[in-house]
Amino acid sequence: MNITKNMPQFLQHELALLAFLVAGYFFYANPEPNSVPTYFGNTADPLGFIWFLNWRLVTAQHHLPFFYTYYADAPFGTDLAWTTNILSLGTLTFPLLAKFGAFAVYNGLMLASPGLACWGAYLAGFELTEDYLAALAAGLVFGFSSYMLGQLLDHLNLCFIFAVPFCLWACIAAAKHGWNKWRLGVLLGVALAFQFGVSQEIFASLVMFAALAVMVIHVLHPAARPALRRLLPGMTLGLCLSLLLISPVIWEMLRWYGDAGRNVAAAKNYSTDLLGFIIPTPLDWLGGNLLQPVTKLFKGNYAEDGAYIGLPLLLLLVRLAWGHRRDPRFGIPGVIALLAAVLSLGPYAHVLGHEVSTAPWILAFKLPFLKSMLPMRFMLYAWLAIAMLLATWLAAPGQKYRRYTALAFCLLFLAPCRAYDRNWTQLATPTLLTDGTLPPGSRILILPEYFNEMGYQYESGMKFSLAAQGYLSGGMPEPFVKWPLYRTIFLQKYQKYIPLVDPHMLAAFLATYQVQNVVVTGDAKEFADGHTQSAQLAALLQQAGWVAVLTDSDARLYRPATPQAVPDAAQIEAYMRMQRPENHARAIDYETYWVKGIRTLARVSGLNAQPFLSFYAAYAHPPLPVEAVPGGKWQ
Amino acid sequence: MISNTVWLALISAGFVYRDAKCHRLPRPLAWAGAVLIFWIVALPCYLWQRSRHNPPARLP
Repeated sequence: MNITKNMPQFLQHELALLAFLVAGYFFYANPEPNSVPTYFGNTADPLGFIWFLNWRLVTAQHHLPFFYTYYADAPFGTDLAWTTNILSLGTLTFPLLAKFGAFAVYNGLMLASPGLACWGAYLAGFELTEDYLAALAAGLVFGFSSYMLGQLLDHLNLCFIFAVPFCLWACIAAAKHGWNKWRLGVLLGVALAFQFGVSQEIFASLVMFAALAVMVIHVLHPAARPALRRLLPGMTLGLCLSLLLISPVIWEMLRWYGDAGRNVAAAKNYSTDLLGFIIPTPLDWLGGNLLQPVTKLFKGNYAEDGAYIGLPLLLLLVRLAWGHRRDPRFGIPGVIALLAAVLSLGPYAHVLGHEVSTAPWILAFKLPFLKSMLPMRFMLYAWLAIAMLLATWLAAPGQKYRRYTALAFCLLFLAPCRAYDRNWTQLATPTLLTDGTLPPGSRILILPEYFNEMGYQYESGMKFSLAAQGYLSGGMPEPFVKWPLYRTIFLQKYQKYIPLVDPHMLAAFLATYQVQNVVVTGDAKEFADGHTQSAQLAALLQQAGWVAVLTDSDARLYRPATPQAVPDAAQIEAYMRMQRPENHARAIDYETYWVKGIRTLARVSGLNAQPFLSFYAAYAHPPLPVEAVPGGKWQ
Repeated sequence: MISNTVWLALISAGFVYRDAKCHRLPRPLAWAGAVLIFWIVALPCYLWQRSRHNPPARLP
């Protein structure tokens, strides 16, 4: 490249970094900047990351524990060791957090992550090939891969993965320049410790894939074994150093090991579909929307679906890896990409969401620590190997123009869909949470929200604690979830059963956890329409003896009309044994189905239905009165 | 609870082991293991290998 030919190498690298950061920024920047708090992402996960960033400030200001908080899931609190607490990012951006706030820092980190990922892969590609253009192409392939496009929807911890290609670069550089073990060890140790602080899962999978890569190189490239032997002490030293640096966090994680599984989804539900490698998701511009009816059958969700390589690129990769299989420069990244792709299938291979076969991850998915990894995310390593393979191919002697043209054609199929990538979301916090209406230190419950509450708490300046709620990437919080009403009032899919919740149980629930205020969000129109969740919750609260003390344009504040009596242990136990409202509704549906069937059969055959119904009521059906079952036209 | 997929893989692996031994294919245990952990790829590969391998000599 003429422009960079006479430039010092570090300037070339800095120019590449600048180009990648600018590309990432302009690609994802908010097209409509405004003054309302806006975050990059379209689910509630980003609010958890914003809360975690801010938590570093709060812990420092109020001398609170790093890994435990009573601001969520009050009165018991929750541990933060097994959550996506992005400790490294919160610690390193501390001054920025104090100056600009967590929203701005979070958005900045999200916008920087694709550029940094590109740069990491570029460095590794450059070290491998010493070809500037090939390294730039490798950086672009990795930093704008399907994995990154997906994770950039809302997972800061999974897209801030600069350290992964950086570790690869360090190993290649050490092998090439003959670094001693201390230099490699210190670099790897710091990078691994940083990555652990961003995502424990990526740290664990990075170590696992590094071990696999060492084995692959040992088997496929006997000539490299002496170099590998020279590298291993530095790599081991790096791992040990990182473990030393992160030992306080590991200690906390071991202390709370019981919580490990709580935050992790089932591996088989987050496994790459066999067709996922060639069928584009709606995140992809070419064919994504057209094939949405097919891709929505895949396991997991679009954010996790990082497997789409596209048929042209897949064919090119197969041709390269197979055609040069005796050349370790192609064979090694090819095999590593294949391994990562196969492991990303999870414990069971799926086709259109249907389990069709066992898959190699079945050997590991129940093991301690490994069970906390979601297989779909292994595609990160497949993409890194693909980027290195492509860089090697582009840098090889021969007609480069044709290769770049072919690659550009393949990448056309990976072009992102503009409707999905600029996913900026506004957070509209109810005024009464921020204007000082609530006394500082209040314990409140916000309904019918389950995911936005962490953003509201941050916006209020951490003025209140959240009783029995607080989404911090964890699962349903214990012991609150044991209450039969819990899922009904918090989970959207069950909220249609709110009218079936026993108001006495709700009163007991609120009194047990000493909730002082309940905020029901919604505007006047929503409260007026009796079918909305806000209106149904308001009615339920009134039945439970709570009254609206303040009505705002976007929320209502409820407090108990009279002091609430705290139920004793026996009463709580009795409530816990009650049937969940959604299960009760399902039982009614089931009964209705059978009773209607009996009535229909009797009607068709001209017999009296009553003896059959009596028999059914006496011997078969659960304790529901047959008369209560809606008969409709069958009566 | 063992899923249907695992049962299928287990039964297939058993048959593959028995068949590989009958046909004197090398490494029958490895084939069975491969079928057990990656049925959808390993079973077609086994059948392909089997078709390339000479059939066992029949006893008189």
